[in-house]
Amino acid sequence: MRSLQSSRRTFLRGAGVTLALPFLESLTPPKLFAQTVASPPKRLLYWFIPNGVIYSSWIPSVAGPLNPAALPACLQPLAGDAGVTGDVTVISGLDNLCGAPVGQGDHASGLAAMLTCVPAVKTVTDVKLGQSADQLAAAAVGKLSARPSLELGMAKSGSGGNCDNGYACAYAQSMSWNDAQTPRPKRTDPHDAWLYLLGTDGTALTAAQQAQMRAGDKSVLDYLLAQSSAIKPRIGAADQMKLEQYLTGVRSFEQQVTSSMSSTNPQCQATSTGPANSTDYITRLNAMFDVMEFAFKCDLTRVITFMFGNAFGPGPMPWINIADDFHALTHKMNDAGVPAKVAACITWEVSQIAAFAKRLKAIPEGGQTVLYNTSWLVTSDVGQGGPHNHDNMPVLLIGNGGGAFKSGRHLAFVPEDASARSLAGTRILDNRTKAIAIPNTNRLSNLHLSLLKNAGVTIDSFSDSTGPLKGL
Amino acid sequence: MLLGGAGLWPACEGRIGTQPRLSGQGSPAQPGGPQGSGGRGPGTTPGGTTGSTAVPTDPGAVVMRRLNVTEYDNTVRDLFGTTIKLPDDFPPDDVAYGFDDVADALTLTDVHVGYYLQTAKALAAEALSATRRTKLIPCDLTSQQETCVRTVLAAFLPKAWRRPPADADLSQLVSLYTMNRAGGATPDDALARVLQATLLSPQFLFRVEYLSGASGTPRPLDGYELAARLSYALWRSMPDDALFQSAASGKLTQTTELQAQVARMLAEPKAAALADFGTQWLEVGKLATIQPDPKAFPSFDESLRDGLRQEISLLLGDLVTGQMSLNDLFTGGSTYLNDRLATHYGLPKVGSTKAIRTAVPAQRSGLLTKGAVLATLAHTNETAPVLRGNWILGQLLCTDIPAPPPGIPQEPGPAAGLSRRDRMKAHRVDPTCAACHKLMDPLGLSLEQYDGIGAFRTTDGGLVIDTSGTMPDGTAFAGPIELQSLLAKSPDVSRCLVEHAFIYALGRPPRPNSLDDKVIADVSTSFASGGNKFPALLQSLVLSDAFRQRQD
Repeated sequence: MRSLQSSRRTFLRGAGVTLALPFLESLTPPKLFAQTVASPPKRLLYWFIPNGVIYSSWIPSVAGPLNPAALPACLQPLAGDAGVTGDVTVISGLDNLCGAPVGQGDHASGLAAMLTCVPAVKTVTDVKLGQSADQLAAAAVGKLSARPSLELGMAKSGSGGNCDNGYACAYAQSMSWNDAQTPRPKRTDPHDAWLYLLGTDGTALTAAQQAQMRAGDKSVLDYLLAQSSAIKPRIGAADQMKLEQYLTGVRSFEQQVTSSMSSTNPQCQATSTGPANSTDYITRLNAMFDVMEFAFKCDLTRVITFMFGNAFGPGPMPWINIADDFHALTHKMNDAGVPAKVAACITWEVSQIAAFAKRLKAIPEGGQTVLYNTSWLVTSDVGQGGPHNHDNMPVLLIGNGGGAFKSGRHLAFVPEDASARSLAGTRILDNRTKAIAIPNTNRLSNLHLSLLKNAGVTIDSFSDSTGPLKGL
Repeated sequence: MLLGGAGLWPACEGRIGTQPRLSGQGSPAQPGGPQGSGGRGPGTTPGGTTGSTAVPTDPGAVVMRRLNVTEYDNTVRDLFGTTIKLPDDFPPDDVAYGFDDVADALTLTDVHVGYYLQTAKALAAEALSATRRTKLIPCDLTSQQETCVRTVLAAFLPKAWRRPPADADLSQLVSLYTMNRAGGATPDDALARVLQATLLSPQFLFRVEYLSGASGTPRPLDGYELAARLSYALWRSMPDDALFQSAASGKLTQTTELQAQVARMLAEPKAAALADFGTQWLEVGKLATIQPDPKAFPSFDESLRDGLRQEISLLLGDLVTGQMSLNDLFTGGSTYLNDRLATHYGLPKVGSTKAIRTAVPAQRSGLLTKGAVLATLAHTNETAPVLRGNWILGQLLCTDIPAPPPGIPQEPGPAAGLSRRDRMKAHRVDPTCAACHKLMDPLGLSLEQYDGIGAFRTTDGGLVIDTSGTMPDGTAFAGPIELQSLLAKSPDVSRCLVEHAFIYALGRPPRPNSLDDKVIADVSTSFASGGNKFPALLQSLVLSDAFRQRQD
């Protein structure tokens, strides 16, 4: 893959274009396309839906092929206008027992474990988790695109502290983690995210000006790396660790500066002002979809995380006439009328997912579509909002990972040893440890492992995985 | 059903009486340790060191602190006279131990670096603009080139990096200029790169204290280190010229000069930044984001939010500047009201949209009757006595209550003929609940006359509200006024304020069984003898070894 990229780059540079074109069939010069047998980029999209689902409206009654005419209520938007039922694998029965909290705190601990499959240390001070799947992918394949990864969310991270019964806010606001101590900031302004992808401040620059700008940026960053390293021997050990984090950040940013692309594809130019930010949720959501589509279409990144909201989010949904807080509703499932409201919220989320899937499916690429070449994982912090369980997680795998995964099915898993679930359900530290030690194969981490391996990350295990998920 | 029986949460069983959480025995919520159970063990006296007569001398060290968002914005304001700030989408600072300036929680990623570069570009462009450049550049850049750059840096770097640069620092930056010139940049563009580099340097972004003494031994801070600690503690910004001069002359490390500087700094308008401390201590920053349910609280609107904000920030301003003592905060008979808030409180209008100092009846006297506190400690649709009680214990008495066990049944909702106290009966009946709730509930329930947005009422659901309660040590009180009198007299409350101020000023929590115990005890004593005025607390804290020294 990398050698192919560089050969294309060489070719294009010779043709007077500074940097690589995205891999897009419609834009690839026919000659070049004929010369190479390229495999299109394999992308990863991780998508957080807060507060779990309602199983009876989510899990198909039987395993096997999905029938668009008989989908569970909350999944029906996949059929209909979007017409993406055949691109979706509904996976039931996967456990993420690492997400079980000690005591209360299911939403924070569940979100923290979603892409890490690591139990969050319960603290509001010195957070400790682990590197998330998306960042593992970004570290391994991020160099193949302009930006190693893009983290997007609809809700800002608020001030930190205690967000969920003794779990730090970082756990409740970040699904992406650079490392055990560093939650990865997310972007909530779509316009800002778009500028970041393009490596511009919005001013129109000629190719020569852009090159000059990058050279200048690089000179500053090189200076920082040299100067900071010189400081290192003069400070204490704990300070050195802080400085190392700084240096890692500078190095990573420098990598992005040097790999910034400018392509001749008119659709990938900063000719327009780009998607606008908005205080209106729906307007901003659509702008986020524009950004994500742009990023994938133009191959500006291959790894995206997206959050409809933080843990406990996204709040009331006035756009479907639900004035109550979504999370609060999930705690009142015994009240009259509430299950219908919760189902409406989840169905709305699925309708947005379906609409975005349709957009990615409409972009041809390498004889298939961008959606086909993507592994898009939709999951949540808890299984169902009321019980706050961390087994039988709601999981949709959308797209085919470039052909690796067969879609249009319901894959149903059960644990070999169900006692793991009840142990984790006690929310006692030792019991959770015991639960994780039981080598059940119905683990969310096994799915993560499969997706990561398929995306080109050379690993044999991920967190508590027992092996790639069977039957994908 | 609940797990286990009585004794599952022994932390609360041993908590009769107030137990400072952050110093002394016990641990301040050690990672991976039992959650929130950092209370002082039985048998120790507040401020005492246990089991040993030797007073520890290790003053501790603060891990180098990244400027948080507020500090960065203030620093560039004072460095350039600019209004440029970090962009809205800059990652929010994480909070630890309740404050946004704790070194450990101030992380940095490539995302931060991107925003820092973007902001530094804007700052450099503005500084080199026609209207401002003579302030920065006293020489002719085009003709003098590197010589001029060196002149610029010789004046700029000591301020930007908060200490005089080494000659090698200057040379490296001049080389950066030369390199950019060689790459085709104009003199202005090349100088802009140099300025950007200084603003992305760890010496700007972090407060660095270098090793200078023997490893593992205490040493006094040098003048520049002390100046930076002082200015960020009191102003949340860089030192000013007077402080730099005091540091350069060596005077600042002398006690009398240090005292004089603190007094001077507290009198400057920039000391208003200390209100940030109060906001974080009382956790009232949440006021900006609360969303009371319009069905339960139809009168809540943005003008009320603003009125509540004005009141609490003016009160906190008075506290941190010493115009009001800690006692007055609980017992003072006046507050700051505008018309909207006066109406909300059921009081006559004051004839102003801007909050003005107004005498109020007893039911609105003291911190616990302030809408900003009451509304942030509420559910969206009703009061939250547990949150209120827990807040009094945690923020005012420094007694942490562990998080509740799993599987708590939902509290019964409002019903006619059932008081809030009745609805919380299970807290008293079930011994597992009672261990902790007997501490929280009597405090929180005493504030039931103030609804979920702080409006006054005497009945709830048709029943007259019972405001009586007990302190954690068993002292009974009739209602919020008596409760506040007890808090005002309590040495635990003033000590707890000292502990919070320690974290804010030092950027780290007090260490158990360390010099910090003595520091907190001494500062508490000075605070009390200074009439419980916050400036006295700060003076004493700044003069302590924990503030003036570091362990290399």
